Amino acid sequence: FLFYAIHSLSNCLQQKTSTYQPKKKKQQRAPNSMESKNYSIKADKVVLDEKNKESITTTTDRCYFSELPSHVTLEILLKLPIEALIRCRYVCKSWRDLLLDPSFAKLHHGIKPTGVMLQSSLFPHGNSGGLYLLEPQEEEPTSIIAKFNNFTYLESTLVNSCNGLICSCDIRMANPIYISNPITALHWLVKLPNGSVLIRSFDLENEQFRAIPLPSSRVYYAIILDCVGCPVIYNIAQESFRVLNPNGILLTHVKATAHASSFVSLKDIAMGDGSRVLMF
Amino acid sequence: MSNTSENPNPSSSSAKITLKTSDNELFEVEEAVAMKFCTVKQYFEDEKDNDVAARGSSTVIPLPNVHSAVLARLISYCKKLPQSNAVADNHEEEETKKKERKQYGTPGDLVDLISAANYLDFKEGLEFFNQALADHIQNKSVEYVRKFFGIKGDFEPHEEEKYREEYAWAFEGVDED
Repeated sequence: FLFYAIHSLSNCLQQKTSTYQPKKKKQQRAPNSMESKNYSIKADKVVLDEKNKESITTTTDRCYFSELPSHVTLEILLKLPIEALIRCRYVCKSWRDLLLDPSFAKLHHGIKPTGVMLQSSLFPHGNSGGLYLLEPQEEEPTSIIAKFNNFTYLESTLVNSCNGLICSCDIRMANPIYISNPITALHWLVKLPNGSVLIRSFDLENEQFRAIPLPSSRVYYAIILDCVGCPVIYNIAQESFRVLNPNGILLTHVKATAHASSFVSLKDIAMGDGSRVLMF
Repeated sequence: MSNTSENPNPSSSSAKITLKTSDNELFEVEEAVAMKFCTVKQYFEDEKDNDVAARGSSTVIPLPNVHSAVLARLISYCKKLPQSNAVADNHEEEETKKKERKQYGTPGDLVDLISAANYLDFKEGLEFFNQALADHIQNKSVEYVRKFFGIKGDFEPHEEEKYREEYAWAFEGVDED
């Protein structure tokens, strides 16, 4: 699907030929399957001198998009912050398709520094307000990378996050579960079948829940619901269980604690006492 | 193996390579600089004669896709690469790098530099100038980005409106231009 999106991008490029064609080398950076599929774009030879520019020009009428190879445009878009990406999604439909593709979000997540996901509490028992993705920095000001006021599941509580995806559910029912991708601001609603104990793992490759047994190398966490519906996170790699305390601050590991607590001490963002800080 | 007697700059012991741009300007650059451009490097490997030093400035490598003004900037960037390529590990350094990225002129200049760096397969340069361009457009409005890339918006008016409402926070505080 992403290939299609890029393909349509490349269709926009002017097809130009060059007498001297360098051997194209694939970009080697983010470890993602997207690269091998999509950097083999044929329309990316751009000839600068056709316009016979006397010097570096700055005409406003130039169409930069058609001058840049599509894989370069992709690289530039990957460097934009989430807020700008959400705007860029609205530039045109082919950009929207590209930017909403989970592969793009994964690449973006792999490049950008770790942020902290914070959920403000409207009520003392954990019902959620908006979600905020913040960039923890050594020095102030800590900047909000993105906020998700449209996080519509007001009854749901942030449960955990890993690999750029966040999991939330209603703490009383623990079903359905919502998986959100903050980079694309997209949500998946996952209804689990009724039962006392369920083990589901979120398959990052296909972005969907699958039943255990897996365990494949692509699976990182499983969400387990015990008989009273309390969500428990099972870390497959470490084989460790962790009961979620819905009223406390939830932290996945020590590194997250350091990140999170340094942020909590900042006072410039009023979140209320019941805020939850999670590793993102 | 290296014969530096032809080297016009006696203080430098490295070999020189001559690059010829689209407007027929000749650039004599140090081998270390030229080898950053993988396209140039590839040219030599294709020649099956890797003894670049011995060939020295007698070989002229044509770069029909690169204008002299652009190449001059790329070479000057290339020369100060070691320090500018250091990983920014704090806020201050990141700011310094941001300022440095701003020195490379208008977005049009950046696009020229990016195109040339892409053609030359100059990875550090591509990375740097891509980031510079991203810095430039990250606070811009949708309209600016459309105009800049020459893209026509193809959403229906009601789709646009709905979208802007839904993600209103992302549309606040963009630059005026």
